[in-house]
Amino acid sequence: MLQRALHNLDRRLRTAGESAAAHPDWKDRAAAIRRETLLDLDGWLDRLEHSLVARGVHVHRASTPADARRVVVELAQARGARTVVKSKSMATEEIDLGNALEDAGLTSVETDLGEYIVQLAGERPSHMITPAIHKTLPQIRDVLAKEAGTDLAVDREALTAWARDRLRGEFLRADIGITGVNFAAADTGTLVLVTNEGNGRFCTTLPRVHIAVMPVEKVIPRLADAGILLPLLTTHATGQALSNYVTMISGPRRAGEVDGPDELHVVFLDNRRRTLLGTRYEEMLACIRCGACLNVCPVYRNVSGHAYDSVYSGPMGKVLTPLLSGGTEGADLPYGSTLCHACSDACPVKIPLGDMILALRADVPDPHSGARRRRRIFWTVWARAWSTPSGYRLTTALGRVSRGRVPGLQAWTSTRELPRPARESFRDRWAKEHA
Amino acid sequence: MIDVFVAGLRANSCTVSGPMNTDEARATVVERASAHLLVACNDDVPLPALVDGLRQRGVEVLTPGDPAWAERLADAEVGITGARLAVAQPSAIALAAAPGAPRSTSLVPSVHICVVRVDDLLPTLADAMIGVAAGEMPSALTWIGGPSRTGDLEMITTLGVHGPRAVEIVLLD
Amino acid sequence: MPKVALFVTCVADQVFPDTAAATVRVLEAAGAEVVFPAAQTCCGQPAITAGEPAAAARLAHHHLDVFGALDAGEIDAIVAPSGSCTAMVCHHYPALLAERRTEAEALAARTFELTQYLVDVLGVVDIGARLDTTVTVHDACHGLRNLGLGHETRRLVEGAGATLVEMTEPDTCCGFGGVFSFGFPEVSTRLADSKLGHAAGTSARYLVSGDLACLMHLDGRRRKVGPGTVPQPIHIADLLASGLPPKR
Ligand code: SF4
Repeated sequence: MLQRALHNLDRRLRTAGESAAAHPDWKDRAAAIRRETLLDLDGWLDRLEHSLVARGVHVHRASTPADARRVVVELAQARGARTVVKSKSMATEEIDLGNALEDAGLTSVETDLGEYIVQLAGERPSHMITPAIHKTLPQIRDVLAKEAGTDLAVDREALTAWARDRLRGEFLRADIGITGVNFAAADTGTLVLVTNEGNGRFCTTLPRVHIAVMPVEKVIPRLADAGILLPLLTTHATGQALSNYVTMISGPRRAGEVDGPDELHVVFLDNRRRTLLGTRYEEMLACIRCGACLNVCPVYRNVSGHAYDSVYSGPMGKVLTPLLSGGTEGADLPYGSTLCHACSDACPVKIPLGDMILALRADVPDPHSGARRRRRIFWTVWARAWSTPSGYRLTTALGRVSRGRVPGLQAWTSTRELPRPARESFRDRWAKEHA
Repeated sequence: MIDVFVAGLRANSCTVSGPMNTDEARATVVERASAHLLVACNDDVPLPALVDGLRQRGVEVLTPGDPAWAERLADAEVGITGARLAVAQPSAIALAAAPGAPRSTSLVPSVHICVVRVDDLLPTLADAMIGVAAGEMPSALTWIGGPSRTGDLEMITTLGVHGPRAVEIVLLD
Repeated sequence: MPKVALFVTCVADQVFPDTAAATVRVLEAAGAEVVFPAAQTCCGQPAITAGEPAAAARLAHHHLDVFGALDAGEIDAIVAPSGSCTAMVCHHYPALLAERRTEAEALAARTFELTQYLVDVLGVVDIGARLDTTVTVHDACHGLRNLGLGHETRRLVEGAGATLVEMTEPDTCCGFGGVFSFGFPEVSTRLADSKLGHAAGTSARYLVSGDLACLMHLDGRRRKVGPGTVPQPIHIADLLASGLPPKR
């Protein structure tokens, strides 16, 4: 299923890629904007806060996921909220907000259709852009029919219509709408939100309170920069020239307006991001969450996003998960890569993902530190032997004798034959011929 | 530029008519809306006497000033709006929230009709954003490229998941 | 006559000496004189992919000592039959050997992958080999994405008179990935199967690539399940050398 679904996407993306290729310098411009932001992230955040506050927006700074959850839960409780509607956001997944709200006695409803299906199924999203990509239509019917308590047809239109009606009710009932943020412009104090379904618009239009959870790197210096970044984000995410809906929010409902939230809160989420500044991983904060690196990743395409067991999957997840957890999560993820660098090539903001995955193998502390120590000893001995021609000769000669009896070869030979042994090394042959 | 704009919108499942003059546009909108019982209409639609025209055809019209707006909007089958601006590449219209232009008119009803002045069309989003950012921002500026859609069901596009199933653009000379 | 130092790579030296010899023949056929610096061992790539840059750096220092000492006035280029090992030198050495960065950059500037050297440096696409066969190309990842290679192998194949048949997704990884092939054998094998399937779809006789590690992985899989209609994996040097007139 995933394979087929990604194939559909791949076709679309290839076509979109051709139109994006008409502006070869766009990647450069986007990469430059993102790097300019990171050069003075704190400065841009201060400017953003200033602009938001001037527009009557409440800004909260959260350094850990727990802080962010507390801010949101307390806001909800102080307002006597009962139901919260959420629009798909990696940031709220990252801080596991849905569960925190449920634990606090609130009803939290995912309103992106894919997320809604995944939430009803009691699962986690498997893809950043299309969370239910691992499910077939009959499986989706089963999940929705169970919730409906009636039978539903295995029909795309009918299932969509049922979910539309059900979620309409949730939107009308909800006291609070929670969203992520795609970009936040420091100059104008504007939050930019991208959706296709319109659920993000409902979450920011009907409930009395809108809370946006914004990882700190989402800030962009100028609203005008969105003119470059938005088309790049959507062409790389879904192959669309632009998402159906891009909402630019500059403050709560104003005097005389008949809809929009009375209160708007933005939670700046750090979660170790600022510790990456000035390190070789700083550029990871340039990520615009387009998912292009996932879609081109041969490993991702062969396993589902769930195999990563983390909020962020695919190549960007292999980098971000260990970094955001300080190495306590996903320490093994950097090894689950063939280092083919297809991700680095695909990334619209030119993040050298392949190089970062490689570097992380050395930099992430191994939870099984004994294994790390043994590994280090092995490679140190190996390097010592092979850094002299005589050591190299000796060990390769031993290898020739003991061929096939090297421990650990099983992982290879159970599905692949070993190459046929060579009787003589090239250097010996050369030495003979040139004696 | 108009051709690019129209082609882009059509490719994204919108219907587009015009460019045409005010009288033709009004007639087009009235004709399109007349099959429905209740129509929501923002004050920023650049067509004088549109509301009267609709009422003459027996269509009930809900306007933002109506005290029953919030309560009755969910029953409206069509939402009619103007647009602050539009861009040809990528093709999209932009709606500014204002007292007479609620956000939900283009969101809640199943059909969204938007009247766009050709004069408000700009070539690219990148150019348009420079101008937008320099001006006063509305509380919400919503860019719309087409009907609500999802690819969540086996990555095949389904329209009208939360927002309108149909977006109809009327271009005004 | 250009003079070339062969950077043989440990894999070719120990496991595929015939490919190393073929590389020499191909370079000579293209008009180069080949020398072999006997003190060379391994570029250190296995250690860096295993997450041990310090061990890799030790070998990198040795490699830089051996090849950096070659007089630039005498040796025109250093050539390896591997995109991956060339990428190690060109892409990773300058950062890995930060304290010898200038030397490392100078080495990177004169180190080339075989097809890159033939086509982009010497400007040769016909080395005199004659091949009456059909070939499909697998773009090995590091050559493709670290070195920007792709058309070179194809032009050499056609320059030898062989028919080129492109497979679906020639630029998708074969699934080898060094330690990955041991750590994640299932996914690694599935990727090999999909690559072999795409190759079989072309009905070509040979599946050619510029990296022995990919070929070892693909051929190992093909032999495990039986060749069927899957083209024979072969290194570009072996393919070209097979079309050269016998050595006198
Ligand atoms: S790392 Fe690059 S390609 Fe991957 S999601 Fe982020 S921006 Fe997109």
